[in-house]
Amino acid sequence: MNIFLLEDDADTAAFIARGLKEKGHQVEVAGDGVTAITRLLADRFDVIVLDRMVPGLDGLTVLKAVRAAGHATPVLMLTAKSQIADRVAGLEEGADDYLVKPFAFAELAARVTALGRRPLGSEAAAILKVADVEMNLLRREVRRGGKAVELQPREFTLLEQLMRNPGRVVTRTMLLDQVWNFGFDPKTNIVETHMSRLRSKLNEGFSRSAIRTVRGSGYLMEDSV
Amino acid sequence: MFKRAPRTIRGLSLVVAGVSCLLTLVVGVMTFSLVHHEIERQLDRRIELETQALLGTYRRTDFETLVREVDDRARSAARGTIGYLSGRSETDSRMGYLVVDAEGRRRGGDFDGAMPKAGWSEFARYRRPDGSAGVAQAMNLALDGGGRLVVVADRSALMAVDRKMIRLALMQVGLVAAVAVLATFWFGRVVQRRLESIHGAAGDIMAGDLSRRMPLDGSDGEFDQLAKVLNQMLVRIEDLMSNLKQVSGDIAHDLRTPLTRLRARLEDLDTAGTQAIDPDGLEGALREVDELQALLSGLLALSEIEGHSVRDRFAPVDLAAAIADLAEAYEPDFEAAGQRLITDLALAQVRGDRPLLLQALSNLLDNSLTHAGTGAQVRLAVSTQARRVRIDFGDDGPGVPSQARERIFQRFVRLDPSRSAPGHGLGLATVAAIIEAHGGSIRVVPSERGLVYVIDLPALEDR
Repeated sequence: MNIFLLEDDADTAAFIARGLKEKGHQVEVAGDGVTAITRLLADRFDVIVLDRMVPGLDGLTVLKAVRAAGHATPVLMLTAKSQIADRVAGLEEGADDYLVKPFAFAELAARVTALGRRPLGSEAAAILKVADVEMNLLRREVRRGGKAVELQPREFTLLEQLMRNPGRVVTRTMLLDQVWNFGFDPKTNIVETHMSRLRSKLNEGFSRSAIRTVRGSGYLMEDSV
Repeated sequence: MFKRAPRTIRGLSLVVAGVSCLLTLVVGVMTFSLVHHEIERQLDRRIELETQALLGTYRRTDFETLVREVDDRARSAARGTIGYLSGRSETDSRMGYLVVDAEGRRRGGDFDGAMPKAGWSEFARYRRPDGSAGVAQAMNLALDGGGRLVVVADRSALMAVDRKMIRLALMQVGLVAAVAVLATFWFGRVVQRRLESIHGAAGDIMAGDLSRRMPLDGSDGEFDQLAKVLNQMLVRIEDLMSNLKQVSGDIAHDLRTPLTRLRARLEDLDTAGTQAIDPDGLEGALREVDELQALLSGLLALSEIEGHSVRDRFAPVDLAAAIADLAEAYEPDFEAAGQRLITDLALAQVRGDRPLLLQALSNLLDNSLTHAGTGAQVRLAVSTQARRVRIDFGDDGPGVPSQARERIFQRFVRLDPSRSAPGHGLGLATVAAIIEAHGGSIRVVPSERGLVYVIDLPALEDR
């Protein structure tokens, strides 16, 4: 993917760029808002990552300029302020996702990857299929290897998020946002306990686990067996 | 146009006094001219009547009869009341007459002065019978058969009234000026005294005495109300300032421990060199960093909530439905901890921030999970009564000692003496701040077993 990054701290920018390049992406970095707007209006990128607080024009202004120019490119906002107020402002201006600094790189990589394949239109599909797991979104049925699996509504949504990102890591905080929408991070391991229930239901009678845990990052459903 | 109006009390009192004097003077002048002209009209009317009567006599008879008639009238004792006015003495309100024949000889009457000009004249000078000098209003008419008739009325009564009225007006102006100056000066002193006391208190506060308050006099007047509002503001400022002080101290203290541990770990890794980096050591260092981050963001969130800026985002929240979601999310954890979560949710709507309210309850649930122990029962009930929403939260775990009940809502307070359990002592402080930001209150209720909270929130008003 072709990724644009606005980040004024040179060390952080280099660290993020190196990490994303190691994952096979091209990364272009700008250190201030004016350069960012010039570049973003001239070229198309797959994902834009904007730091909210940069000197001069800030990330939010850049975001407004990009959206005003009619670009629908997915945008991930990075913010160092306390999460609540900033998240609302960012999402209102048309950001697709946000991440509070400081963050783990794995979290950033997972969110950038998830944003990058968003416009493929998979959201409209009625049936999702990952390896031997099949999900019918209209009838809210799940089958593994043709065998029906009974899921609670919450477990169903959890599985849906994983199946919409086949072969890609979905982090714990992404799941908290998308499945529970609490807007805060409870200290308990809600994700872990629900995930373990979902797993035991999915894996019953199968030797291979349908959902893989990626240590330090999140969860993953492999596309190919 | 009011830009140039005086803004000081001295200036205002001068303006008020000046305007009052001016108004009194205007009213005085108006009264004076009204009364003066009325009396003058009476004088003129009297002269007219006398002249008419004498002319009537002259026309009916002849010049000699007129001369006799004039002499009669001049000698008459009853003459000289001028309308409704009378002078202090007979001479003050007397009338005078003079008849001159065609050759200009004085033939009758008692008017002793220069012949006034023809027609009306004011201020005709003459000598009165007692020898004093007088000023009179005079009418000088030509007679048909030659000769002139002069009728005069003494102006002394009018002039006496004029003098009295001028004296009265001057006294009024003086009195009003004095009263106005005194009143505004006194008013100014009252205002100034209050302002000075507020001034002094403000000075002390600026000098650092944040506990100082504006003085009240208990009158509940405008100044008292202003002082009360200022005092409420000062209480809030003092709270925020002491929070700030406490937080800076607490942060410094609580950051030191994880930073020391982090440094030790990194030193270990450093001395180990590149050949044998211990993955456990790295992971441990990352954990310390995560903990530091959690502490910092917890503190930031807490100060944001206490600053009440979160109120900008408040919207109607279906509390029962939100809590049901939360309870469902927590259910597996309670099962894993060998505890039971019982909910009793009645319809309850509040105005607030859903994530924050859920976070508050989530903190309470976390506490019970950690501290209530295996086999504990946790009860979460919501009800609405008389525009208040009441949340009852309780577990039957070991609870807290009664003397610690007030303390547990302060930040960095941890009852676990070993401080071995995870957390920074921000959980309940955050809960209290969230509830307070929503205009509610939380307290620990004494109970035989476990820890029981009652949360009180204003219910959403029906629109």
